[in-house]
Amino acid sequence: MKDGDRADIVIIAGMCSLLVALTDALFRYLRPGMRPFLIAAGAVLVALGVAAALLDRRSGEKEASSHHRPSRVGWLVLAPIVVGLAFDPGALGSYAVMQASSGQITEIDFDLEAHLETHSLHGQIPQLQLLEFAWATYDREAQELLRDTPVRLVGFIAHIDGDEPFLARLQMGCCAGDAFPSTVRLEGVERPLDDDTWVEVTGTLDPRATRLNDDGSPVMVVTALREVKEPKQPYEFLR
Amino acid sequence: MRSRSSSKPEVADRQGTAATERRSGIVWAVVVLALILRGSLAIVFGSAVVENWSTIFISLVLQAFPFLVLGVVVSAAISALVPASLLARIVPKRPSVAVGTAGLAGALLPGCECSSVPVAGRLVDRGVPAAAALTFLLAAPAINPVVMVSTAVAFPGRPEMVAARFAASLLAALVVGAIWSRFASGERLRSRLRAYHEHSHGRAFVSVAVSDFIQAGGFLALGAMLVATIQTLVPRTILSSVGGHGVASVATMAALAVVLSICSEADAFVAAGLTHFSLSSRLTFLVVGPMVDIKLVALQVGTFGRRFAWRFAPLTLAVSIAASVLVGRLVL
Repeated sequence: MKDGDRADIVIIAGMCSLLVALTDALFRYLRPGMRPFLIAAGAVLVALGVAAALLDRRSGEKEASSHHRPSRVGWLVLAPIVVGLAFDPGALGSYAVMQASSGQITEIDFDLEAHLETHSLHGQIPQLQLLEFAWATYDREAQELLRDTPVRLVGFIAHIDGDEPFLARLQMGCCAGDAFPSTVRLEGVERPLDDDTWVEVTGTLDPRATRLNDDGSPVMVVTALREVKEPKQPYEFLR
Repeated sequence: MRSRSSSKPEVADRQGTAATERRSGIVWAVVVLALILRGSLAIVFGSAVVENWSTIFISLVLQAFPFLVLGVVVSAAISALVPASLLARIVPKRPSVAVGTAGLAGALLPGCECSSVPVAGRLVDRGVPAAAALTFLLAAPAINPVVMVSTAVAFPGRPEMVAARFAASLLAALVVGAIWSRFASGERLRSRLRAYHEHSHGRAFVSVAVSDFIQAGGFLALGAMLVATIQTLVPRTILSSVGGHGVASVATMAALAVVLSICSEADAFVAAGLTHFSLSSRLTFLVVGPMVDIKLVALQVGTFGRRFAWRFAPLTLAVSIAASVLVGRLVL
């Protein structure tokens, strides 16, 4: 690998990092909190690459390879750049839900009652995150509350088990690489829906079935459903 | 001895011809091609599988980038600005104390594995006991602050992972140092490093930083590709059975760590992506990786010779696996 190529790769890597960090593309791959760090990293890389290119030009002769022999693996740095530019992949969806390891319910410290009260002040139906709704499966008090109180959930459709639609949303640990799903089985949905369609559903927790099969998904009795646009922030996070 | 070219016309002449030799232009050609094909590639090759793979791949690389850049910058600064003689003065000469000090010194100096081997080589050249230099070689990439922070970020809500990584890595480094000191202190270890011309500090820094980033970035991309492939294409049932089973999962993680050669500032994110594997087996991945992998062994052969590597690598592998399993059992 020539010195100039190395500088070019570093510059391009920096520019692409900045591109992702400064646009909404960030939300497809990383937690929003990473934005400043990715911006900093991108800026440093561009500066470093430009410095290397300038220094390289100023020396008329080829510099002795001072550190260690450059190996060909370095070209792979171009791989994520090419993949990102060429495919522009979106946030993880139903495929990831199918592939995820099963049986992960987030333990959360969440005052459901207070939340429901605060968010239904003007007669609106309170919205919950899927991970909060799924957690209710394991919390007795939450179960009782959700049997009676209708809530709204926003997620995408996934057909995990048979023909019945599930509502799903992914939660990130550190990044999209370790995302795991919260799923809710939907009951009372007549019309066929494609995978990865984003919808908002309104309903209550089914009192009969709180644990279904091995996936431990709660069941929601749906009273209303409408398609929505994919939210800018497709993943969920603990509040 | 290389003399500086002093006459201007000569330099200008060289610059004219050298410009095309300095870069192949492949980089920009590839990027332009990717942009041109954008959209059409997605139509032809796009599918849920490809998209899933791509998103995981890009996400892991981007998440690791800030830590990689930080680690590379600090490590390049240290290697360009801090002479080995200074380090040699800090480490005490008595073997037992030296090993312990070297281990803890590793906690302070962010350094990719690629820099710790040459540094250890230079320490040895300046009279630091071999066991201490080797302890430093093992500890520095594994327990420095950048690595600890990146591990904390990669496993949010699980600080025990950070503690376990620190404890197991330090333990492994100290044990290897102690064993080497006990059984191999008689022989003299010499590095095969030649003194290289020190350019100006600034130039050395930039050159080292760019080289390190390219190499570390390449291995990171490789590791991220592998995780994306595992998580996208391997059936979930297989992953769960391997990942859940004790011996198989530890062995798989250890093997992956050796093969993947990912920089320690970034490997935590790759480990976080292997969600089907137990936490303790992933700890093995994180402890073994910075100490034994293909890239490291190659570096060690180049710096200390084949005979050394033959004994050092298996020893380190065994100790690091044992330490990670032990600490994993206690902490995780």
